[in-house]
Order: sequence, then structure tokens, then C-alpha cells
Amino acid sequence: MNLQTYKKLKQETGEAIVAFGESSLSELAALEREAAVLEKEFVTELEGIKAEELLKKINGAPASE
Amino acid sequence: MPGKEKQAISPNEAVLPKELSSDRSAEGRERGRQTVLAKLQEQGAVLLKKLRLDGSFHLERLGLADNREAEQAVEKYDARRQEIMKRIREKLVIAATLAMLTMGTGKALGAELGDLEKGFQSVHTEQSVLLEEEILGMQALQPPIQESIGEITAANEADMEEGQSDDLVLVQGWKMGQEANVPTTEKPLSADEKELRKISQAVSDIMNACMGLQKDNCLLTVTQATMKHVVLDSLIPFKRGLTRLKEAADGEKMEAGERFGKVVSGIFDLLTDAATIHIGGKGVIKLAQLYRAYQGVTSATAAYTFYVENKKDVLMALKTIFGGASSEQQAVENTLATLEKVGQISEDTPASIQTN
Repeated sequence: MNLQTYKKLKQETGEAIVAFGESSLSELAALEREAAVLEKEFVTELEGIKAEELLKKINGAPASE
Repeated sequence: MPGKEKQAISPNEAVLPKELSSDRSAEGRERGRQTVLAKLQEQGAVLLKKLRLDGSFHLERLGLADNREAEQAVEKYDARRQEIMKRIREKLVIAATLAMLTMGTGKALGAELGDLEKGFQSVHTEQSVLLEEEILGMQALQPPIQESIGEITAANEADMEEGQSDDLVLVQGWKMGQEANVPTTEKPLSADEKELRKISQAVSDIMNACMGLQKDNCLLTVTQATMKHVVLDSLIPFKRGLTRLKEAADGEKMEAGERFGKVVSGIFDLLTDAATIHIGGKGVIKLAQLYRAYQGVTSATAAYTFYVENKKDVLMALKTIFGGASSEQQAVENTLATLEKVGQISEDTPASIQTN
């Protein structure tokens, strides 16, 4: 391998690394949004279950085991 | 979950560093690569921390611990949460590998291309082989083989973490004044002059290589210096870091990522070893601080982040460790002075060795 080849590889690899970093940062941001939505949906579901449980108690239904 | 506080997850747009603008110097590009990877690691770590809280927190908060329907919702949520965390970790593993390889290649013969030409012409065969291996390692990072590199790095990190307990035993052993029953500290250093001279030469070579950190060309030269010396196991106070360096040096068939992971780890272990020895001495407050900070480092990713964040102090610490020796004799004196501090030199050691 000669110097020119090394330079070319180094440059190409550097560009690939930056491209990977840029795309990964965007992907992380997307994952963070996905996690936020996931958590919000989960909490909403649990609150719905809790509301149903309270409603059953108010209506005199026996509490779940 | 009792004792845990809720950490809200909020969208956070990724902000690219300024160094990544199109008009930039070679130095800027080098910094840019490292910065974008460091940024990636930082954001990934923050996100992982946020996701650490499992669904049972909300289950208990809402008093639904005995509700079967709620438990099923938690299982579903945790499975998806774990999947997201897995995808983040995969990114971090690749980023850590890239960071190490970027450092390794940049430091093979000087980080900048201006220095590269001169270095390349003077390089000998052994270095050329290593350089080509590095470049092959870099090429291997291109898709679609990123996954295999990730696996290698993950395995490497697992090995490091596995060895952590032994490391802690060694550190604790030194702290207790070598009272602990640790094999590497049981036997005093051999008084044989020839042996000591070999050790001093190893110290000198590695010291000179570490000094190269200032010129941003340390890692490969450290590896090469280590390769020259098979006697390093005798250098007891720095055994842990040197063992890692020797593993890296001996690992000619290792993937580049694994090899440089061991080099990075070895350098930091040297730092830790030396800090352990020097705590309480003159001008070592910074070393002590670094030592305490490094105690929390348990992975290659964290080691690299630690290096980036503390580069200036690390350089100062390495200077302190090796005392700025510029000759074999001075290296011998520094080595002896260091060994004396940890009580490794017996009274039987010939005076000629101690002063020569």
C-alpha cells in the first residue's frame, strides 16, 4: 500500500464515520421521540385501567383479585 | 419503584457540532469525527439513563400492582423499551469502535497528513504491517460488516468488565500496603541487574511512546514499544496496564477494534496504577482526582469518553508517572523511586542497581 492509497482510504473512512455519526444522531433523536410516545401511551393505558377499577368500586362491583 | 424519581422523556433534537461544516481543515475533520462520535455517545448515554426506569414504577405509582391487565401492559411496555435500549446500545458500540479506530489510524504515524508522508517513508516493515491492519480494520467498519465489529467490541467490553474484579483486588492490595494475598504483589522485584535494565528500557520506551500523546500519535507507538519487551510482567506496579498493552501488542490476529480497545484500556490502567502509587506524594492532587474519577470507568466506551473529557489532565498525569525521563539511567532511577514507594525493593537489592 502506498501513501496515496492510505490518504484516499483515510479520507473515505473519515467521511463514512461522519456520515455514520450524523445519521446515528438523527436516529437517536427519532428513538427518543419513539420512547416518549411509547411511555405516554403506556401511562395513558394504565390510567385507563385504574379508572375502570375505581369505577367498578364506585358501582359496587367486587374488586379484582 | 420506591426511591426512584420519575424522569420525563422528552424529544431532544440532535445538534451537530460546528466542526462538521463543509469548509474545514484536516485537523478540523479529525476533531469533527471525534466530536460527532463523542456527541453520539453522550446523547446515547443520556437516553439510556432516561429509559432505565421500567414499567413497574408506574404500576406501583397507580396502585395497580395486583391488576393482571396492568401487568400485561407493563410487560409489553418493558419489551418495547428494552428493544429501543438495544438499538441505542448497538449505536454506542459501533461509535466506540469507530472512535478507537479513528484514534488508532490517526496516530499510526501522526494524526495529520502533513506528518504522515514523512513518517510513512521512514516506517519499518513491522509498522507497515500494523498500519495496513488498521486500515483493513477501518474498511471492515463499512456496512454490512458493522454488526460483526459490534459483536467483537461487545465481547471485548465483556472481557474488560469480567477482569474488573481482579483489577480491584490489585488496587486494594496496594492500598493495604501489599498485605493482601495477591499473587502479583507477593514476590519482590528480582534484584538481578540485567533484568532491571530490561525493565528500565521497557519503561523508557513506553514512557517515550506515552509522551507522544502530546503529538497525538501515542497508541500505535505504545503498542510497538510494548511488543519489544517480553519482560513486562516483571514490572509489578504497572502490571495491570502493561498486561493490557501486551495483550494488545501480542494480538496480531485480533480485529483492530479489539486491539485498540485493549490499548486504550491499558493506558488508563497505567494511569490508575500510578495514581494509586502516587496518592499522598508531591504535586499529585490532580492524579488523585483522576484516579477517583477513573474508578467509575468500567467499559471501553466509558474509557474513551473519560480520555476525551480529561485529555489535558491525562497528559499531565502521564508526565508525572514517568517523571519526564529522557535516558535509560533516568528511567531506571524513576523506576526505582516508584518501586521504593510501594515497598517492592528489598534490602538485598544491590546498591549499584539503585544508584546506576
